[in-house]
Amino acid sequence: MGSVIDARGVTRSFATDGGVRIEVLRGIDLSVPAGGSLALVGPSGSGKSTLLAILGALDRPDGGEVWLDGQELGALAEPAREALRGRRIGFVFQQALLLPQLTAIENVLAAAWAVGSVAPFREAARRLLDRVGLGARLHHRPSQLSGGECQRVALARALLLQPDLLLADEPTGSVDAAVAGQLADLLCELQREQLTTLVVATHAPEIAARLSRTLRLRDGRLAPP
Amino acid sequence: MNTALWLVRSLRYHGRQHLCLAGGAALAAAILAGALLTGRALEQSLARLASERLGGIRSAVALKGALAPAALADRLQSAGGGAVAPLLQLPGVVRVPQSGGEPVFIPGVQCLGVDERFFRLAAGRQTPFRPGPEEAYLSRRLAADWLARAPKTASLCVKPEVPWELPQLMVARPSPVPVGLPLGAAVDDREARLRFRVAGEVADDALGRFDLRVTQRAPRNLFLAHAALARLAGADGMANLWVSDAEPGALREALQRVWRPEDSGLAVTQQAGFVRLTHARLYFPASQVEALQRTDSPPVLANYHLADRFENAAGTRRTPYGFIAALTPAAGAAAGPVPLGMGDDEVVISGWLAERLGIGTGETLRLHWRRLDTTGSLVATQRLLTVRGIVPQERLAGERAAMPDFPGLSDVESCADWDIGLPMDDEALRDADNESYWRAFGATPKLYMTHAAGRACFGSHLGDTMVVRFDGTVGSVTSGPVWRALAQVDPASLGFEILSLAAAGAQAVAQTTDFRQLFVGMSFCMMAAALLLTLLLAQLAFDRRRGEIGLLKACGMPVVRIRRVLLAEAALILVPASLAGGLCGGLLSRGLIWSLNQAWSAAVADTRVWPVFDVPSWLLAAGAVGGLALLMLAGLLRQRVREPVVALVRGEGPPMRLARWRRPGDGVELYAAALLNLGREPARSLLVAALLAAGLFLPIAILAMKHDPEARAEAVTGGSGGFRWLAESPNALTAADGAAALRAHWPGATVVGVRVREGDGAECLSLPRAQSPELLGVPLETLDTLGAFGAVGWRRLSEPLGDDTVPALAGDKTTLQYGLGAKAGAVTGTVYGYPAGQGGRLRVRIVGTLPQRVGVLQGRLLIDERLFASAFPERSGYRLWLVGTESGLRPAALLRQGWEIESGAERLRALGAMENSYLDMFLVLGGLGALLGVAGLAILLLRNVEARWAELALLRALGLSRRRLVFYLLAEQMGLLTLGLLGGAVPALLLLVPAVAKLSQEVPAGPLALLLLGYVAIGAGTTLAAARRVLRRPLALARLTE
Repeated sequence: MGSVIDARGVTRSFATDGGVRIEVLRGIDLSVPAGGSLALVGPSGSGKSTLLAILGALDRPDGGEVWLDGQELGALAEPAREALRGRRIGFVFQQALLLPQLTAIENVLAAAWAVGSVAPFREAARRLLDRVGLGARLHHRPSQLSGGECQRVALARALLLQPDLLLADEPTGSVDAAVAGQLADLLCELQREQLTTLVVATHAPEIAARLSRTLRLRDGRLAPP
Repeated sequence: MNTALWLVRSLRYHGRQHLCLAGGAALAAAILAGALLTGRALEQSLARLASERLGGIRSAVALKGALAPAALADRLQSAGGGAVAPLLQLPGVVRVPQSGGEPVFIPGVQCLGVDERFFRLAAGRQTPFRPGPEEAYLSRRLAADWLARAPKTASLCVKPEVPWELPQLMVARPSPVPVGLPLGAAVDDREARLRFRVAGEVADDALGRFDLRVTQRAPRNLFLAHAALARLAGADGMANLWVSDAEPGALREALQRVWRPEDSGLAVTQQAGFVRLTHARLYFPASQVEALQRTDSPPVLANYHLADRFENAAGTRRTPYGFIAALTPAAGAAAGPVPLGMGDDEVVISGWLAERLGIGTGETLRLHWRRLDTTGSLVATQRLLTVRGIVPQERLAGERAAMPDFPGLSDVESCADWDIGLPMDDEALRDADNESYWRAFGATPKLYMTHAAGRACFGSHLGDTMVVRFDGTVGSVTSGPVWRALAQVDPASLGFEILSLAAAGAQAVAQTTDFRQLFVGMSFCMMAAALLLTLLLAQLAFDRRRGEIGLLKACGMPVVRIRRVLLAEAALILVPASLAGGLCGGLLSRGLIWSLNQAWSAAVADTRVWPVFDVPSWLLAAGAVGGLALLMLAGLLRQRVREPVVALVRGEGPPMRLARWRRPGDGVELYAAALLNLGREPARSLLVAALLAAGLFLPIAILAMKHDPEARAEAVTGGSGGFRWLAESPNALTAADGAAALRAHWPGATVVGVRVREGDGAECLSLPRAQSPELLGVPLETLDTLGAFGAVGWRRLSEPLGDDTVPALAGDKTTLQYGLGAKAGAVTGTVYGYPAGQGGRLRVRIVGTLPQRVGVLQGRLLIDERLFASAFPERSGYRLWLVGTESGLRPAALLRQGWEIESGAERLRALGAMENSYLDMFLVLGGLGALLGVAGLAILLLRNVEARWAELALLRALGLSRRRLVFYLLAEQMGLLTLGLLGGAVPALLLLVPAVAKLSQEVPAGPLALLLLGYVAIGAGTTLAAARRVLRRPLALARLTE
């Protein structure tokens, strides 16, 4: 099985206000096969989110290459990256980031609205929400949902367009342990059902344990845990 | 889910922010629409007033300084000149008796002798005009002034039992003879009085505001029956104005067709053997003389002058006073004693004179006389002349009869009783020989010279021909080629001026100050502040929605589309808000107009302003504000959407830009840190500072510009030129008569007479743009010697410009800049044309201004009086008097005679009232703008506290007292306030200090300091109140995790 995402020698640094540059990623080589799952662990500030943003075409590396299903992301202009991000990559952030003015189902459909037509995905959105246990809460607004429920809506939104790659950045970071466990289970189940490739940045070992592979990010480099 | 749903949901969910945004935009639109609508209302009000002033009248024939038969109206009408009404227009004074009080005098009354034809020309309602012979109708302005000045008047239409309780009209009988003319006589009994009853009032839209001058100010009109006023003025059947509803071209053509030579004041009398033509103005206009000279049988032209003395060449024998006749050498019945071929240095004398001087033919005599120069001064002159012949006295009887009738010499028994408008030597007048000559031969000339020699000796700008003599009979002259030649003369050259009233009125309104621009300018800072506030609110609103933007970006929505969607959302708020704001602008405009009609009426020179709602102005305001706000938002969104997705989804603001300025180590003071926080969102900080600056700029600028118009009023270099009083005599007077009248009440006063050619007011109090500004003829040498109005360079007005224009100065800088909107320069200066005497045209070019910004001669153009006198011989004499005296008392006796007397300080106060009213309006609007700035500051504070809750909670957890926390926030806000102060005050002062210095004014440091302190206090107070209110809520450390 070929890799869905390949990172080769990825580097990224940031300038501080004092003019000092901090190298966050110092040559990351990474490969995740299609349908596989990977947990990126490491302490806060180790660069997990940065690596996830680069893998998801939200940010550009200073050096190295990132390939998504045979397509080098660095070579793509911003509109192409936007299109790629919309169609082939799903995101789940630490905060659910739901649009507060929309209902649960509308939030899920926002992913389709962002890139084109909504109509073909109405049923899928309903099914996904049903699948994450919110079939009865379709028309509830985020303010009427709990933190865990919001995160489940965010998960449904990320999976609506059946992305090749699902990136989750501390998806359970803002909920309590019990809910975190349920969320992690759901995430893995859906990943398997949809045969999506999943990369999760987390510092929670119990979540990492649910994924097929774990790498630790330390001093800007990846290493086995 | 679709875009429409997104918009609906977003509008609903973010309703509060949107409401704030809408409020800002609506406020800006209301301000702009209010300004535009107020300007439009003022323009339309001026147009309405212009329409009321003229009604259906479109043109007129005006005859200045002369009269012609009122029946000319019928001829004009029948010749296609439209519906024509004759008027007798005379200046007058009304004396109003008050029961139990002193009578009150109302000067500046325009007496109009009219008939019902005049009121038929009203566009609005018709006035039933049927006055009795001693009844008058008042215009509203006259009635209002009457009641204001004479509050003890029980009622205007009171019918008192005793006639002396009736109001009295005083008018000057019109005299076609120029004032100050030697031999024209100083007639003292020109004043005519009429006790009248008020029959009614003429409404403004019924021609009650009729005035030839282009002005929005209502005249004090008194309407009498034409016949009654003409009788009072000694001008039965005469008129001096014919108004018509036809276009000027049609009226001009009609005049050319129906005009008759006798309309110009010609009188034909049969003499022994010849016909004598005389002119009501005493001197014949040059155009008529030229026309007569072109006939097949050229006439004998005659001119007359008074000699002061005749002497023999040795000076041993002399005789005082006697007339000189200057005649065309001719033969025939009309010829006088001057034979053909006589030289210009030769004279023929009467036998009486030859005998007195003891001289004979071929000998010389010395002639002494005074010639009139263009300023009206008499210059003593003498000349040696050779006696060509001596005519026996008995052969000169016809010459006495041929002379014109000189007022003041008719029916005078003795030389001592002469009243001929010349200063005379009383001792010489008592000369016995001369007295006996007068008793025997009257005014019979003693000396005869050629007409050409007469022109050289005593011809003047007023003319050189008093009598024209023809062989034949009256019948042969009036039905022959002479009359036909006279009929060909252009009536314009005889003073008949065609006035294009409606077109000039419309042009004046069209060219008036752009009031919309003025009011928009006035509201600009407030509008800018409202827009900046809108932008600030938008920025704060979009900052709260960073996560939404980040999410949409993360979901792959193209940034262009994100921008469009958010902009569409903003448009759904801003467009209706701007439209609604524009509607509110109508209310704002009504408020402003109310204040213009009340407290700030000086700003529009007491012009009544009617509110209007003008759809284009509304749409323009809404469109401009909505468009500008959307443009600003588009820029803001462009910036937001470009931010990295990661930062957006985390809701992070931009990194702290000023962090590197922090001092290293731990010693950063709390308040220094607060100030450094300004750099966290530099754009937002600058926006608030700009908002504060925009609000502050105007009040500071206005305070710096406010000035006391009366300051230095009395100084010779000040606005009054060192003249304490400005007096306007009811009639034109000679310089000597005017000075004598004024010095009788102000002994030792410096009196400068000024010649006046009436015109449109170009002072700031006259809102329509003057088309033909009032022209003054000023004595350059006198003003130069007095140093009046400072370094003016008066003498440059006598230097020719090298083209057909004469140099003129504007009465002050305001006249040039605002009153006329003209340019000054010897080459590029604006040129104004005036119909001048003899059908010519005087073109004056503005070469400069008096140095004052506001001066008592505002609205007028000043030229050399010599040029004035030459150009306008029919406007002889002086009407305006500049009086320099220590006395602060206004002579009541002169007021009773109809003089209008105003102090320089009063005039300057009246002129300054408009400017200061505008400045007050600017100040109020600027103050409101400043309050918007403070509101922005408060909003920012609230937002900062909300956004930085965690930071504040941390500081509180670290032990910072709530009080210190308040001061921490205060320090940050004060930093912004200081930035705003610097941004507003420094440019305002930099811009204005040089201008203020140029005006020799002091910068009002006290009021400025007070304003700045007040601003800081309001800013600090608002911040303090907001901070205390917000921080009253518990700042739990637990919220740090939120």
